[in-house]
Amino acid sequence: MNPRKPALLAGALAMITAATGNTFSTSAAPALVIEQDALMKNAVVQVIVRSGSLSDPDDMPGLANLVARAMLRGTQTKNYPRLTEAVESIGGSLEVRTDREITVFTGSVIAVNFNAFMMLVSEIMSAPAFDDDEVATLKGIVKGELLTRMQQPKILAAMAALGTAFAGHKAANATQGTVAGVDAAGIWALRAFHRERYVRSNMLVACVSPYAVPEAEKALRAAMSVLPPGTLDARSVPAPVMTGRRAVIVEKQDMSTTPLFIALPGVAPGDKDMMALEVGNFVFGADFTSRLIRVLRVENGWTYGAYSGFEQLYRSQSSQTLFSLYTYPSAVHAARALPKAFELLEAWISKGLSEDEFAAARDALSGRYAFNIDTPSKRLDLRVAEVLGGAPFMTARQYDVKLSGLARNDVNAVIEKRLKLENVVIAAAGDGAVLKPVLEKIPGVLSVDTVVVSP
Amino acid sequence: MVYPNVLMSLSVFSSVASLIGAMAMTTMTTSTVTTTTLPNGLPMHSGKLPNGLQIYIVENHNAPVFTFQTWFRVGSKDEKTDPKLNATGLAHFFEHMMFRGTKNTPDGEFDRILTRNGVSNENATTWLDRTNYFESMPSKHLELVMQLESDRMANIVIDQKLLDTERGAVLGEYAMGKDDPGNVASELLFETAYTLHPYRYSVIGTEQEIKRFSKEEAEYFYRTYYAPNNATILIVGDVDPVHAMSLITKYYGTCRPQPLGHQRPPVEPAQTAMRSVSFEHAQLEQPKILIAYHVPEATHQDMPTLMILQSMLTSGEGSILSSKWVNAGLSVNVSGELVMLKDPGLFTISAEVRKGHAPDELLTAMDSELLRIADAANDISGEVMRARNQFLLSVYKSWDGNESLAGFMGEYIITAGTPLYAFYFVSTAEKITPDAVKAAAAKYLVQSNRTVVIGKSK
Repeated sequence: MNPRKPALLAGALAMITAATGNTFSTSAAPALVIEQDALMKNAVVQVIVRSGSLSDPDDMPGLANLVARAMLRGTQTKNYPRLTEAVESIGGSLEVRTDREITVFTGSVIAVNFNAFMMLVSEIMSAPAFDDDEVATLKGIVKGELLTRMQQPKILAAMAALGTAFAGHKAANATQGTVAGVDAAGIWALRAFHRERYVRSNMLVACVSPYAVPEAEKALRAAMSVLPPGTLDARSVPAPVMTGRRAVIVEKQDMSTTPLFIALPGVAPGDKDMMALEVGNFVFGADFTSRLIRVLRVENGWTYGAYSGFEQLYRSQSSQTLFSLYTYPSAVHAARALPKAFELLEAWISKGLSEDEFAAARDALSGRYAFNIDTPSKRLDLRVAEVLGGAPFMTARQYDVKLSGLARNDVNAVIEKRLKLENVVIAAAGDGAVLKPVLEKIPGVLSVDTVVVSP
Repeated sequence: MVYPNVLMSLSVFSSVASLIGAMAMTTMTTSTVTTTTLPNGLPMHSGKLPNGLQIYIVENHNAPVFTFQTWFRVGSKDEKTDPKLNATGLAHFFEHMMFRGTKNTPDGEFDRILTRNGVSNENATTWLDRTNYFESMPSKHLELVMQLESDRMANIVIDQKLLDTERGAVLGEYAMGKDDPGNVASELLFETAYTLHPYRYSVIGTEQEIKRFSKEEAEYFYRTYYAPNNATILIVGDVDPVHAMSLITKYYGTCRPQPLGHQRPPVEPAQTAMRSVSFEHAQLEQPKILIAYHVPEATHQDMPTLMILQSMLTSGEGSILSSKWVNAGLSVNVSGELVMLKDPGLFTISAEVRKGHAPDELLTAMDSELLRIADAANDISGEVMRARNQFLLSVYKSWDGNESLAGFMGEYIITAGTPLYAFYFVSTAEKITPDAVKAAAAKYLVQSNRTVVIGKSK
């Protein structure tokens, strides 16, 4: 059979042979993605729930994250210490991450204990305790983490950028929510969220292990069979609400560096133009040889790092993202580095790539693609991304064919067409007295506001 | 399901331990390449050129790519003990200059050539005992990598203008570190825990030192420490070992060995009383605590036991301090690291303290647990088993892919003299008994051997 996008609707098991020689299998309700690597001594499992912070109620930002983490704090038959002991004593670990569109549980276990581990995962997914005391403890931990995040100036600049780009929408929130949202989430809300979203139709399970695919599939199916079928709850990040060129400052004194983002509407991961944009971005800011590093660091020594990309401010599985430039010049160089960064962005979008740059980027990406698929875990991640609405999985040969079909003019036209500088957010953390006049001089900037970022 | 159980797979480690002993007694040359099978099933070939360059090649043909690492046995401690330098920060600064041109490869070309040919994760790091350079490439470019890497081992040109520009980037990195309270706390921890040994000095150096390093000092540093007899190459991936060895001979065989400038650093005197310091930082929203206990050098027989003890205390939600600190509401998080070095290292623990609580509360809770562990009357076998399995899981995770495996093995090139020590360490940790853990806790994790750093909001 040919590789194709697996169906998420209920249906018969589809078996697909991957180009690597390992067997790849998908099925529905929940979808399964399985890779085998006979040399592995551990197994890795991802349980993906297609509900993230965008599914939070408006008055409870952080609920999705709280539910997921509370599920690891005890089941109906095992309290938190017993559950943790059961997982970790067999050489297992289970962590959870909440994105905007999904929540991902990632488990690892010494391979010999795979079946025992999957039984525990099953119990956690189907019968969490949501014990009052444990949830109260967890709330304290999460609120402490939200406060700790505020210690990172980069996070402050990022939150200011998101707060401006998604003003009034929950997409502006941290996926961990807010202190007020966490406080507002009662046990009843956690139970209701779990009941509605932790259902087979709303989940995807992925696994890479040394076991043959049928054996792994049997264990995964058994683990998930205890969940109700339910319905899909996929949500998309809304389009950003940016109007004109706006600058925001998070006032921070005593800083040695000035972290800053320049953000504009991007494209979705599975967009037809993404490959052309990746070629363009490679030239602009994705690599150590890119223009940003070359000018801001290598030629001028103003900053240690300068990068651009589509996932720097937030990761999306299927929605439009923000394209952003991020750098953190030494505070003494910020007044020169900031306008230069903007100038470089403008030049890249309006003039595109030179022939040499285009050829170098194409060669580099062609050679580098092997590293996207050189381990079973990486291949698994790409398969999962495809199922969630990202770009189709490609072998190295398929990638090369598609890449070689691009011409420089195509890439330049796509950059100009898809990345517009009309609506831009510039967000920086640092000394407002220094930054405000610099930002006011950026061409076309309509406003420079000082904003407060709080947990 | 049919799968080799953990004990079976670990029994292979024992033979590796024997192998290390055998290798230590054998002088290798490329004509006497040693081949062995690692516990993860991959073949490894090792040898040595007449100029002293050590080579390790691990074959992994899962994908048409390889990782290439060059490890120099020079780090920040060596510049401080070198009487001609007596400085900190140059080892790191010089690491930056290794990307800025040779007699044959002008500034920028090293990166540009590798990038155009598909390099992944090209970088370098400087640490207390060593400096390493690494990149991953498609298999067909093995010769290109050797050509470029051997060239910069022998032919770096220090240009004054480029040195001054790169100084700006290093100062940017320095500034970034100063904005990070975790980094500030860590530097203060080493500076306080060590009173004499050069591990006490920050790897990046001081702002004044970074600003004053001269072209002549950089040239002296390069001439003295970047030599084949002070380096090891580790290749992991899809390479033909015979072809790789012949390329190494071709490109590195002409590199001349040099007299090395290493001086034996002063021995750190035993700590006899607890040390405590504090600092204020504008970015701190809540207190931060870092704790360190002195432990022996990486190859000391107690280190595998200390690794299990570290796992018991800080690895996983079921760890002792996760329970007694985080879940008890005293801290937001907890983490720990056994810092394994060529000379005696540190056993470190850190946490963000929850608002409304004092760092001393964390110390009291931890001391109570350490006494419980050390008490012969208490059964800790379940905790030791949990810690051992968590440790093994972390090891197995690190075997996934060339870069990760090279990272797992590489540090031991410096601290133990061979990357095989990584596997020996694991096999030893597997045999650790609860009594050994109790003894290690009683010997090392005592207040008189402790340094505490407290960070507070400004």
